[in-house]
Amino acid sequence: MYTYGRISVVSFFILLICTGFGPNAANAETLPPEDQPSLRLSMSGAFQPFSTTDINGNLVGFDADMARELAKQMGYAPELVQNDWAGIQAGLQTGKYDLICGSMAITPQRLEKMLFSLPYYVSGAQIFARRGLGALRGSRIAVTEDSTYARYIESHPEQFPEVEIYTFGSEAEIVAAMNTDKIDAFVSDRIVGGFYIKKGAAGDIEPWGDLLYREAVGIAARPDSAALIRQVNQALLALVQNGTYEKIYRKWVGNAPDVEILFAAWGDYAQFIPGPENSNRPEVNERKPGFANNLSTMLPLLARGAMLTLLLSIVTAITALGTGALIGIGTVARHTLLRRLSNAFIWVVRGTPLLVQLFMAYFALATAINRLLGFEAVGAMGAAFIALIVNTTAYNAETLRGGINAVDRGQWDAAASIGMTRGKILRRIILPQAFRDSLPSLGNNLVVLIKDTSLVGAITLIELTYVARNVVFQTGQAFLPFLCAAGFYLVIISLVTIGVKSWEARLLRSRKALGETI
Amino acid sequence: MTANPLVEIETRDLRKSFGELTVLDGVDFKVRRHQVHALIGPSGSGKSTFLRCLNLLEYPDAGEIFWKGEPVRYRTMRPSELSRHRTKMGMVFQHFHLFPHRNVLDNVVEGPVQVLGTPTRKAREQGMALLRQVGLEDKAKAWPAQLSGGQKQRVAIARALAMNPEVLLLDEVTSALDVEMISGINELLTGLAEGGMTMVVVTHDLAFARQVADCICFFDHGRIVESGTPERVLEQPDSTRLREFLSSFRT
Ligand SMILES: Nc1ncnc2c1ncn2[C@@H]1O[C@H](COP(=O)(O)OP(=O)(O)OP(=O)(O)O)[C@@H](O)[C@H]1O
Ligand SMILES: [Mg+2]
Repeated sequence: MYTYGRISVVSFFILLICTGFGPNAANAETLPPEDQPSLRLSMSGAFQPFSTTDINGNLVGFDADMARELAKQMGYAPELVQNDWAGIQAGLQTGKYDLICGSMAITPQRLEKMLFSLPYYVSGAQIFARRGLGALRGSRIAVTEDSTYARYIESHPEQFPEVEIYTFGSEAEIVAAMNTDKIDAFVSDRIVGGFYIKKGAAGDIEPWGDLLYREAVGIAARPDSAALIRQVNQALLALVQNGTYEKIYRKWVGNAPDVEILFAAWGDYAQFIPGPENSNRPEVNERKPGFANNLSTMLPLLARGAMLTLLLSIVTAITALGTGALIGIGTVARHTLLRRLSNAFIWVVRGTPLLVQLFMAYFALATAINRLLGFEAVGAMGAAFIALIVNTTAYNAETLRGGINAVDRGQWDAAASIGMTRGKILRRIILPQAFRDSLPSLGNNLVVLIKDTSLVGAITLIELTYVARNVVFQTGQAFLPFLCAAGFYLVIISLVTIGVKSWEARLLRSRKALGETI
Repeated sequence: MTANPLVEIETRDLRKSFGELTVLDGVDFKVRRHQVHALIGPSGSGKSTFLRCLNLLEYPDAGEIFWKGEPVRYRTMRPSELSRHRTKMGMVFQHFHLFPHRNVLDNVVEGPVQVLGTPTRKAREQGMALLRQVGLEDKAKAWPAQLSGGQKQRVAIARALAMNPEVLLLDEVTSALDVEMISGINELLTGLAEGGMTMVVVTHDLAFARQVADCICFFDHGRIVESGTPERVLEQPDSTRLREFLSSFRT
């Protein structure tokens, strides 16, 4: 854990990351090519007031404004990418975006894997507790997964005696948990917590005790992006100099930034700041965006998430029905290798969690394909389709395999006895019966699939559950957004269930009760 | 060997085991044209397995099968040859095994259209004629699930006949039926026999066997222990095993 107490320590780190820093040190070796003038910057969108999403689903906040202004200052068109905090470093390393401008504290561990810019703000870790909470002993404290706060708690158990630690995937769930009395306190950024208090977003809370430690927050880049980081540093200096930084800071944090502390953090590099320059000051939008805090503003947002959920579900369902049938037939193929491969596929896919498959498709497979082809052929959406289709294919194949084996052996005998060959028997006699008998289970697989699409939020896709979580975070209301999301899911799943049932009824007409006329 | 025009199928020393269990222990058998052969014997003696070896639903472990004097090389047969061999004999099962997702007429028509390549229209006409023959003309559009056991077995017989087989293999076709259905099916089979159909009938119905069969074979422990005319086999049994078997029916 890096605590920002001693300037010399900071200087050391800055020296470490900014070697070659200087006004004229810009170097083109690793810059994006000329014909791609956009710069992709990522943030979680779940860390008010630094990053969050507005009523239209756009990223807004201190980080978002800084990202836009920095990119413009550097001569790029800003392209903001929302990514779950837990996967944000992996996204950077695999080239999903160029920079993380998402309130990432500079720590020695992170410096081993990434380059950091000069700190662009200095904050600290603070415990926030329900008003009137006496001692921490025996209380429930929440923290975001993979954060510096989580590591601090781990390494300072003596400060948290008999405390139950809850780890959430993002700050959004912590706010929801605080609002629903699932926790008594949480550790977060002091500015973030101050914002909650001002807005009442996380219920009636107050800072508990002193600042745990200070931390300097920087913009992270891949280790091979030294030139890019130098550009960021220059742009940051320019924004501080021309007052843009202060405007953005005031807009989101509410007070003027403590430039002394920031400069101290810059340590020895303060001397490189160029003189005042009042040429072209970029305009900062001072108006704050609106947030979805009632049903009428919430529903369109959720509906958009539901559309993505529906799209993912429909395309996957249709595709996986065909591929599932192929693999299912593969398990009863006469060809031994084909049979083994089919069974191995089912075994591997059913034996691993969908979330892992999503990450593999997104971070490993998609990245490999894109590198091979030399352009962004498979994005988050493509990766989500791959993972969902592969997953559902395996379950459908297993269902169908069971259905095929459940068909009476006598059917094979009867068909063979009239001279039908194996392929024909399968196609005309066995599969229709297996499919008809498997349809309820296949429908069930489909329902599971629809619910499982909620996992694609982990790879930056803004589907229904993800939207609901964001709305919860923006408004501090835990109940209504989730209730609406549940309603959307229920509608989608009901429609699908009705469809499958009517199909089933058509296929089952041959089973109708004795004497009924056809 | 010189082909005997009166022998459709012949087996020599046919053997088959399931793991440790020897089910066929050297069966020599001739199926003669226009004759009805009844196979009788205790449960588990290998009658069904033998029948299934004739149309290669089951592969013998050893022994020879001849079709009209030509050896059937079942070990090296290609799928198309296997298919052709099976179409020469129709098989009817104890439990019917109708295709539940096809209506009655489509059950009958499936083989001719899919295997023989008969045009659908012609196959349907022939199928309707067969359904008329088995007395189910009015059920052509019904689903198997809507039929009684006796009706199902008639459809199964029609399905087998639709392939125009030279031999009919019947495995206890009345065992799963209610008593009142049995005589109808037996009459149907008797009619077919009188029409000159070559048949191999596995049955526990000794009265029917005596009435319809030209020859009765007694199976025991995977062998044919005795065979001959119904009168000979049923009234003057040589072996104690057959006498015991027959006496179990009289009580
Ligand atoms: N596929 C198989 N796998 C293992 N054993 C089998 C198989 N088929 C038949 N058997 C066994 O082989 C023996 C002979 O069976 P088979 O069906 O030929 O007798 P069966 O004379 O037709 O008897 P039943 O009068 O009861 O129909 C039985 O013990 C049976 O359990
Ligand atoms: Mg039997």
